[in-house]
Amino acid sequence: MAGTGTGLAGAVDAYLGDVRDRVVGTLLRDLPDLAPAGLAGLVSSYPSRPGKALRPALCLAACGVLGGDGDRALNSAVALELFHNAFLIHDDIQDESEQRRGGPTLHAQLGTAAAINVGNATNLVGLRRLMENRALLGSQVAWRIIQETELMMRHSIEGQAIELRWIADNACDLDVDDYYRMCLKKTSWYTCIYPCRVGALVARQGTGEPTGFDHYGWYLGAAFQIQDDLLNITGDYDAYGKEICGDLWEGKRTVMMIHLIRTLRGAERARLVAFLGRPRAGRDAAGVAWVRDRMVAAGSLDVARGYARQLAAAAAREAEDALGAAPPSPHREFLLALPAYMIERDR
Amino acid sequence: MANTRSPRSRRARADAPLEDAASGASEAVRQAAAVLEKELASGVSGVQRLGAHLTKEHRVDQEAFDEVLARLRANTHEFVGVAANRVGDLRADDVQELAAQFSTHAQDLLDAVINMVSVAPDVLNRVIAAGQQGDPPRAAASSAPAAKAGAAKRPSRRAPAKRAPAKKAAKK
Repeated sequence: MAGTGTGLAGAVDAYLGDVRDRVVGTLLRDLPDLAPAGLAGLVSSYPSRPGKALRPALCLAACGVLGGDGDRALNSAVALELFHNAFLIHDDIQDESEQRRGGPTLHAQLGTAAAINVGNATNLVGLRRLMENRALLGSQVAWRIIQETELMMRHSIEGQAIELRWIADNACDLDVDDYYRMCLKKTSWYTCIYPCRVGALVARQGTGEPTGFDHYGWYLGAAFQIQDDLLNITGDYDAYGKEICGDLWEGKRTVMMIHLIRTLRGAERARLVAFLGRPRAGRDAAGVAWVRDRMVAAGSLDVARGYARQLAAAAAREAEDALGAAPPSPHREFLLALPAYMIERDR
Repeated sequence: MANTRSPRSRRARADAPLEDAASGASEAVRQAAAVLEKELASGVSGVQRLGAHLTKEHRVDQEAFDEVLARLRANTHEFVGVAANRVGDLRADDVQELAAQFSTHAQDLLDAVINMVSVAPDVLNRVIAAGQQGDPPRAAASSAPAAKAGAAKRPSRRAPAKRAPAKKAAKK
């Protein structure tokens, strides 16, 4: 569905493409001078690669569907795209990932120390963007957005800490509730809830609580993450842009992995626990292939697909409840179509 | 936007692949909803921060207090809505009506309580200031309903101790 350019998927792709051109174009055009020369160029490395621009799109759509002026939300949309790229740089280091958006990860290109610094610089540029909101939106709204940003960063860092701890401790007693808690913090808050909240704050000029999209964002983000985990196992590298089965190499506790751990018995379970207990460098291609085959045989991929579909359906219900009475607009159609798009995408 | 709502008719949409998964709230979605509800309840941590600030500086920040109240109000309304919807999932007509009544009354009650409590910071600041000056906190003891409700009233009973009341009040 995604990438076909037809129907709802085509409309979503078109909306995302427009936002990407606008937000990434602004981001790259307005990068500040950073010493030493070349640092700003490195900050632009990930944003210049093909990405979905999902987060700024949600921010601008939430603002637009509530009657807000997208130009007033653009600054925030650029900031959260920068924060996202900084997360990616640091996440790739923590996960020891090798590929990102169709190319080598930044730490693979520059070394870990330099890549960490580029990630920090990317956060700095995002912070500057938020500071500029004071002149654009007034002190009160700018401060509310900074508060939401602090909350988003706290959730993201806590979510990342949970996941890293699971891998370090070789946690093998997890259930889907544990996964949801990690996913809410690590993915949904910064990918969906935070962008929608910021868009709502701009549209309503800081009045009221910007929480009307929280449930939509939570279900959408969870469906997004599970679909991403599925693509990591079953996707095509050219479309997905990251190493296939990278999550297995990294020992990530996805829905599929949690299901597999809980399903296997005896020697097979012991083999899986031993595999997960090794560092990435201690795993081999044969072991990764065995885990993948076990996931297929145990139905773990189908279970995950079922979860993604149910969560996307819940997001669609939330969107219809919230937006059913809103006047037709590209923003409304985008938000309504996104849940189905999310689980059909191939990138 | 609350979750786990009762099934209802929906207009036909092009995203048909979701339709078969959308017939009511699944167990997976209920579990997900519970995780979010728990996280949203962390508005309480704002209250804890406010309490720590009061203990440390003997002063209530009116802006922080208002912010905590606003978050508490929004979150609690959300909980009430979710609870009402879950009762509604039981389907019997009388339970549905009960859920609607409960929802309305609980929202009204919540607003009333929060409005009453919202006068507390000013009262408490006056109590603390009076306690630090060694004066009996008359204004606080006689002014607001919130003072009667708890923390603000206690220092006046302990007024003979010169600076102690502020600390006692702060710890509350």
